Amino acid sequence: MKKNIAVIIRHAPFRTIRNKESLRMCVGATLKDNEVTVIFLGPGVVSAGKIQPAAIDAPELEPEFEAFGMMNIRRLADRDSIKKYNTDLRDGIETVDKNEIARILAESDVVISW
Amino acid sequence: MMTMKLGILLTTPPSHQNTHSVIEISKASRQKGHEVGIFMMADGVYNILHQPLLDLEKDGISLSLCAHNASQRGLDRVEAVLWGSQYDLAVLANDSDRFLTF
Repeated sequence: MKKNIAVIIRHAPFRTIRNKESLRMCVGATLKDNEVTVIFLGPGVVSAGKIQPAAIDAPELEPEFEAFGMMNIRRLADRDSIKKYNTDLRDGIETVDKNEIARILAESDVVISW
Repeated sequence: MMTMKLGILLTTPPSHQNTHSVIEISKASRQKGHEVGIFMMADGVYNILHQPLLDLEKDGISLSLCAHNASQRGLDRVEAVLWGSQYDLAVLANDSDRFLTF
């Protein structure tokens, strides 16, 4: 049975490999007929931005974002957070408000928060 | 009473309070007759060094982890834990009636 899985990324990608791991997990979650939506929220929107983590020896997120496109993973970023963290988003990421995020979370079968 | 399958994702090491919470929730769920599966990834794989968590396997709780993350951290295999992949997490999330993340 197909399940809707929402994954929330809440932290900035610096000083941690958890964001890299969480994005890899999103790709893996599609392997069992799941529909995956990744939501960048708060400082997490920085992960969805045009950043250069290699400059501080942090892991590149490019491979995961490329896979998102191939696996039809929907990518959303919170409008208020984008403004707050002055983020220039990568291509293919939808901007939504918190009401829309709340609706998606309520309709999801599984919510995984990172 | 209808039994359910509870899936748990654990991403923090055993130094974190989450490990205690996962152990107690898992035990309580088993006592109620529910099926429980725990998947460990990221620093959560360090929980295989924590005997109270490994002991959950004796209660019929299935333990699995991301082998890629465990290998990155130089951990050796232990018998009670399935050395799995992200596919196993996808299956657990898909098959569970309730899914919790720690």
